[in-house]
Amino acid sequence: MSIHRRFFLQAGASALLASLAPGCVTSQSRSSFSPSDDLLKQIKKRGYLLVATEDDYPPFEFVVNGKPTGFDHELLERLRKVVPFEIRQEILPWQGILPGVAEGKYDLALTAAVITDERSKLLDFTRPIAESTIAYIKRKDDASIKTLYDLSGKILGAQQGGGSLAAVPDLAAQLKQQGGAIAQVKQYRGFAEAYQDLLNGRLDAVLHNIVSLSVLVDEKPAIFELGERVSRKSYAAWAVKKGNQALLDPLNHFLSNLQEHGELKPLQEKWLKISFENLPTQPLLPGDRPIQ
Amino acid sequence: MQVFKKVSESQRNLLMRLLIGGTTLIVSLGAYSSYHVVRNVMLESLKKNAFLEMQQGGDDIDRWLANLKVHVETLANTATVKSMNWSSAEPYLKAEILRFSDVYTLAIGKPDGWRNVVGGSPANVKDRQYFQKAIAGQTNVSDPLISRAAKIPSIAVAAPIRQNFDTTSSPSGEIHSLVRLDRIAQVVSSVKYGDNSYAFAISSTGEAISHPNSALLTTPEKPSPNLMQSPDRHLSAIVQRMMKQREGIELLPLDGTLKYVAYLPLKEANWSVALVIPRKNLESQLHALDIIAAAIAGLAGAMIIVLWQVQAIEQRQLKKSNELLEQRVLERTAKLSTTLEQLQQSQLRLIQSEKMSALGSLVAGVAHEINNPVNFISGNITYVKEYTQDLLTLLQLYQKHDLSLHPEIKEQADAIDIEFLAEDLPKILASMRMGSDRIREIVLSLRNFSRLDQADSKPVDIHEGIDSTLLILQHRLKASAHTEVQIIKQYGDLPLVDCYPGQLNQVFMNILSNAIDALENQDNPTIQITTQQPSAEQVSICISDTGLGMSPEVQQRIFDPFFTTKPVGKGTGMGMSISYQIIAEKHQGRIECKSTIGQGTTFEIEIPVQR
Repeated sequence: MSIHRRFFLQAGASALLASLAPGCVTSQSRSSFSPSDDLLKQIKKRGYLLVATEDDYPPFEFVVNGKPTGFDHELLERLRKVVPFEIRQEILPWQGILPGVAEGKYDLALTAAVITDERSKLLDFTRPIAESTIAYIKRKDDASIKTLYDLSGKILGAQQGGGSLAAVPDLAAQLKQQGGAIAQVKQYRGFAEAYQDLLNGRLDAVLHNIVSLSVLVDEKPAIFELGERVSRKSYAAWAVKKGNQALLDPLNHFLSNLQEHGELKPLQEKWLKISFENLPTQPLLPGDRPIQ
Repeated sequence: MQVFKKVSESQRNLLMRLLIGGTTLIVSLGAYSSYHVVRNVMLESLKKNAFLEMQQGGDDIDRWLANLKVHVETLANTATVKSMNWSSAEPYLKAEILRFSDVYTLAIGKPDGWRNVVGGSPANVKDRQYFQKAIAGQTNVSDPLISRAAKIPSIAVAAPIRQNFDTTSSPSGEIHSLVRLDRIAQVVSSVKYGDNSYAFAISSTGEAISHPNSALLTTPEKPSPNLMQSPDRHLSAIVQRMMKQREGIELLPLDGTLKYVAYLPLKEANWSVALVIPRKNLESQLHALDIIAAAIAGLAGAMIIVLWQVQAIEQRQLKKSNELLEQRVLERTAKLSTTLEQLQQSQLRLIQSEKMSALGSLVAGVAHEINNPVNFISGNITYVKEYTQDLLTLLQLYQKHDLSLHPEIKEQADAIDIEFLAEDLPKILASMRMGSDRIREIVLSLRNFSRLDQADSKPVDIHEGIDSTLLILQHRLKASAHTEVQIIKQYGDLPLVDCYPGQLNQVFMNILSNAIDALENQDNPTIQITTQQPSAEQVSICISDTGLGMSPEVQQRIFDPFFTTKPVGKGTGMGMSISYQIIAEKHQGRIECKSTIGQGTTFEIEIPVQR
């Protein structure tokens, strides 16, 4: 492990040198992480980059047999191979991650944090790694729902205080355009209950972000079916402390490199069970609004 | 003898080195073999560890499969399922699907092969092995298959449905759950052993159930290629062994590099799993041993070099001390020979000085003995001259006044030629006087030269010494065939010098006689003697000749004892050496020789006025 890391440190350092040499910039196709000198100095001073990931957020980050895995974990592994320094990972509950980064306790929230207006005041986001738009699922054998507008008059489930609940007004507005309306929105603490209620007919659809629903439907194709997006598009991205452009730039470079080399799509398909072809290259607020 | 000693020494050296080399070889061979033994033991234990890891992984997979089996068996034992009524069972099964995360669908089959499935339409699965086994009363896990309902690569976990608890009764149907193949892949791939290691699983027929290389996996489009027929013969060999339900760990070339492959059969399914571990993951733990071994080898090497060096240093020291000894012997010998030489010198000097002293006493004796008779002659010759003068005057008076001389007288006067006699006699007398004076002078010089009476140092007129020496050498000065040697004296105003006059005269004698020798057959032979007083304490005597001169080599050795350029028998080679000793040691003076070939030689002597 350490041998590997040293190798990559060396490889990273030589790539860095190559990138510093004038005229060689165009030839650095293999290096996809090019930190600035300041950042390197800063990291070297501490000795490592500290990233925070979530303990239980499948398919992005979760633990199997005591080993962290998931979409973000695989991205982290790839990041490790191109940076000229050590990355330490701290796995913690979701609640601690973003505040920790905002406080400067961690350098990077390497998790799928939804870009919201509120968060963008305290944090800077990388380019999106996935969509976080709210969609719905229905029972597979429920033929009454075929399009978004069939949700009119139906009972919907959403998570209490979550993004899914926040999407309800969007959906209601859309339905209203067609003269429809949501019959009822039931709020749940966790989605497991909501799915259960959907299965036994107490709900007609459950609203959740499209990735979670894709994974669920992939796991349970016999009972559920994925519906359309119901809200404005929103995105999930990694977050750094507000103003930490020195770290943000190379991270964006790393991600765009993955995208360009077509490495992101298979990862999305593998883990998220859905791929996003046209993710924006800038972090955008819900509704494709740029961050001010 | 010397050669003999050298040979034996070099042989001893060789033997020593052979001994060191041999010991080193034996020790290093021993160390190397023990290193190998230790390394092998460690490697075996590491392999065992890796295999245990694989076993653990296998156990995990088994447990997971067992869970799946238990789940299906539990479902088979519920009243809802036992009823074999699909419409009542379906909602229950749906809830179960949602509850049990690994299962993506559940189906219930009747003995005739028709089965209902959640999320799919009824189909006949009589041909499926899992169905046949379940209907035969056996809970089983199938090999990979493409599900007929969802067209998903899956495995089926099937259990018989019995109406009672009698396990021997024939089942009234079967229930099976379908699990995605990639779910299995997730479980299998969680078995790891360091970076770049991976696990794969194969079915009883050699089909890949899980493999990181997705090309090897079954998809709805194409069935999985049989790994037994893999072009990689090592892989196919391993797969064959796995199919035979064997277990073990082997090092073999896989994907281009040597890798360890640990493999073992599962208990809950007819599968076998393998863990492919890059060699270094396992052997990196031997690095510490390798490093220690290398360090020890390095230390041993260093020790040998040091030993070698020490031996070489000892040898060198031995050689050095030998050389030192030899040198000391040489020095001693030289000292001894110098002493011998000095002894010979002093003997010669003794002889010379005895000779000189004998000669001196002889000369002094002779001079003393001659001195008195000569004094008679020189003392009386004045009177003889007076008397003869008187007699001659008387005779002349006779001739003048008595003209008639007796004829006899006249005859006698004619006979003796009285006139000539009267004329010659004073001359003879003058000449005699001169002769006696010369004799006196010589005697004086001899006495002066030998100075037997003056063995102690005393104030002496240097010029007197030079003059008497010259006088003694007079005969040689004139002996030259062609010309007389010209002596130029440039005497300065010298005080009386406190010295050993006899010895000093000997020095003058030696220098002057050498000068005369050098002037032989030379044109205008000249000896210049200059004396002066350069300071109040010193007088200097400078004797130059216009002779042959000397080469620098000769000059260098001129004061060496026994050094002579004269033919054998002519010189002792001691003269200048004794002179040097007399001036430098006896008188604390300085004697120097300057000479140019063809131009002449100058000796400069400086002696203190007061001793």
